[in-house]
Amino acid sequence: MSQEMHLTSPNVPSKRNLLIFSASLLILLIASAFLYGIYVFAVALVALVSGGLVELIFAKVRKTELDISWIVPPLVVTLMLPPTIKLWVVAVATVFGVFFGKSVFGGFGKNIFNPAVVGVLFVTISFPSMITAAEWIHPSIDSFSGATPLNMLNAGGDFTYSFGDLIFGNVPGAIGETFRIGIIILGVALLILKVADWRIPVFYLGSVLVFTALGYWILPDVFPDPILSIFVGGLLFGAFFVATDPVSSPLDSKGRMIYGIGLAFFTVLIRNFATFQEGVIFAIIIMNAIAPLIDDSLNKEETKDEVVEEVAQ
Amino acid sequence: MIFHKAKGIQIDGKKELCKKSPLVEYLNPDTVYIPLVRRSLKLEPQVKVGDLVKIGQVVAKFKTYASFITHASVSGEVKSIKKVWHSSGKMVDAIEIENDHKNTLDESIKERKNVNELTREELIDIMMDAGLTGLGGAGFPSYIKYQTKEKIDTVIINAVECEPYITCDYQFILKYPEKLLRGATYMMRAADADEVVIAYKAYNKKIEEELNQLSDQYPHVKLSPVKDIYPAGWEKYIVEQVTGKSYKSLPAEAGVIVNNSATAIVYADAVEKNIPLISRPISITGEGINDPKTFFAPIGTKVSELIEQCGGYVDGLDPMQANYIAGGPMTGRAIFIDDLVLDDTLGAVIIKPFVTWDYPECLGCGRCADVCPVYLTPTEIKKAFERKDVKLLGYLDANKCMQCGLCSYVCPSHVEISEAVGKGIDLLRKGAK
Repeated sequence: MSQEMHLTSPNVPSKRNLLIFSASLLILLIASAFLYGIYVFAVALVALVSGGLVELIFAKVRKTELDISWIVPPLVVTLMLPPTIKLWVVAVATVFGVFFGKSVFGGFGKNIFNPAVVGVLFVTISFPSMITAAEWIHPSIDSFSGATPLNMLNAGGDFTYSFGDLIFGNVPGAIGETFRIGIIILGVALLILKVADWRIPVFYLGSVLVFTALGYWILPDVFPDPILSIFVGGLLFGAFFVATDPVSSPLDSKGRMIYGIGLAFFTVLIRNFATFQEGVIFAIIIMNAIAPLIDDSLNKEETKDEVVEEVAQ
Repeated sequence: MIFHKAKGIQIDGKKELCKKSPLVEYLNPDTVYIPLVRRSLKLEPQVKVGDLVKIGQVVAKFKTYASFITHASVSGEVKSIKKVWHSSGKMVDAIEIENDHKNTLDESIKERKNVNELTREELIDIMMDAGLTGLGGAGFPSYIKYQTKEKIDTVIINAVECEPYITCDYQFILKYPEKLLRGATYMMRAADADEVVIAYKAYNKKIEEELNQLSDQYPHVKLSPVKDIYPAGWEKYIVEQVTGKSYKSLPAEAGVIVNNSATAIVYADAVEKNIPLISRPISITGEGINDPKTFFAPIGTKVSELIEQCGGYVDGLDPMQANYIAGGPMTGRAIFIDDLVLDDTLGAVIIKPFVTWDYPECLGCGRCADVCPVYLTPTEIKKAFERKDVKLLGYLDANKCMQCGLCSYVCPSHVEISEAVGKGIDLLRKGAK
């Protein structure tokens, strides 16, 4: 619909949703500045500029308009990186993620993988020393050199962080993942406003709880405490803000439940059995790849009947 | 199943616009244009330019299907055969008849004496000779439904009218409640059925009151209120609600015939007075006109004339820049001009100020798949259509779509999914042949 006449031009709901989503990401960014210092704004700025440039060039080459949605992947990349990240790594992550995760597929709405996760995954595997073994910042301890809550929980020793610190972000971790009370409040608000589908976070977090509880019950040496395992690492942020990306998740509502369960399965598997401490980004990439398959297999279930030929034809 | 998808959703009815004023009879337009097309089949004109025609005279028919006949809706002189805009969104040939305002009736229109002795075959023949088609919007010839070999138990009269804005059935019933019951009774006899069920929306208490007053004389008629959701007026939904049975392609499989309420009223006239289908109710409504009304008008009336009767357009709205919807807003077609003629399938014309928005791409949020009453994935069908992938369209069961339009309605990006799915079905049918 590209008529010239414009009497009124209301915002379409999906644009409103994008704005709400971007605003919640910005709130998390501002909250993290209180925890880890204003360096996070430099990270965000580099991510936005590099991601925006890729999108702008892409739009020029394809002769399309720059969509408002360009703001989301750089912000998500920022929030998933450690607060001491070098700025050139941020640029690499964003450019790689936006170009190979989004633009090459034809832009917004056509990508298979979540672009932000593609970028973060690329730098995680390429520069593990800067991401998984980064120098973490503790909001209230100077020159901190200990383990993050996730590493400590996975290591299996004593867990010294208090639950209150975990909730209010007084712990080391990636930029956007530690202010957990904010993530939960904003995330639930997104579900209530129907910006994100409730099935994915509910089934993701619920299944992580169930899988870890089962493991904790059978193999208490390998699996950590199920409740704590939800409140460490990027799980809450991933469940509410990354996995809910409608473009890369299944279309079918039943499919999204399966998607959530699959995310939980891979997260728990990687967290407890693989070399990498954090399984969320791997789980999201794996399930992104499987999402079209889930849709297809659900479509196949429907019974087929003949084309109804109309009498008058 | 626990996670069964909800069937249909409640949508804003906006019916108050048109409910304010009762049905207006507008039976004598100066000129009518009888479209020479029925269900995309071209009809052969049976009159020549210069002929004088009478009301009820056959003016056009289709070669093989006897029911596809059209009658003159006014008396007067045939002026020309020219192209006019049709509710299908195309220009079609039409017979222009200038009304002489004498209202001369054709010889065939006369009171039928032996109404109560008519056999099933005779009743079906009346339907055929009257050119009666479903007035709900599909325009399916009614007699074909009654020629079924299946045993019919129930005739359902569909007065649900689940689409927003339209009130033509509602007001037509309030005007002729008794005719509705008589027509329904004839339909029951034509189907050899035992009972008639009238399905209507539960909040339409007026219909219930009117029909309950007459219920003593018609003990075989049952009332069945349905919930206020869209698409509650869908044939499969009604049959399931009333009888609890489901069927694959035709309601006759479940022992049911479904007819629109306006069809029943017109049929009552056809049986008693042998008046063929020459007029129908139509709602002219929407925010774009001053005084929305429902008319009972002859087929072939110009919609622009009816809009004038409604007090014209609201101030500041240029008729050339208004949005016209022929039919209901959910299933109808967008038309760009008010120079449209009334045909047997047109239940409403909705006039709205023009609104455009640029929408982002499909987000893949899956809301269309959530609301789809036949459990399809509309956006996948749209994508398959854009790739012209006939095989995938068949695989996605695109032909099951009943074009309710809910997918376009709920889409947060305002992507016009329903339209693309409709085109996809056409492609699939062409590809399947």
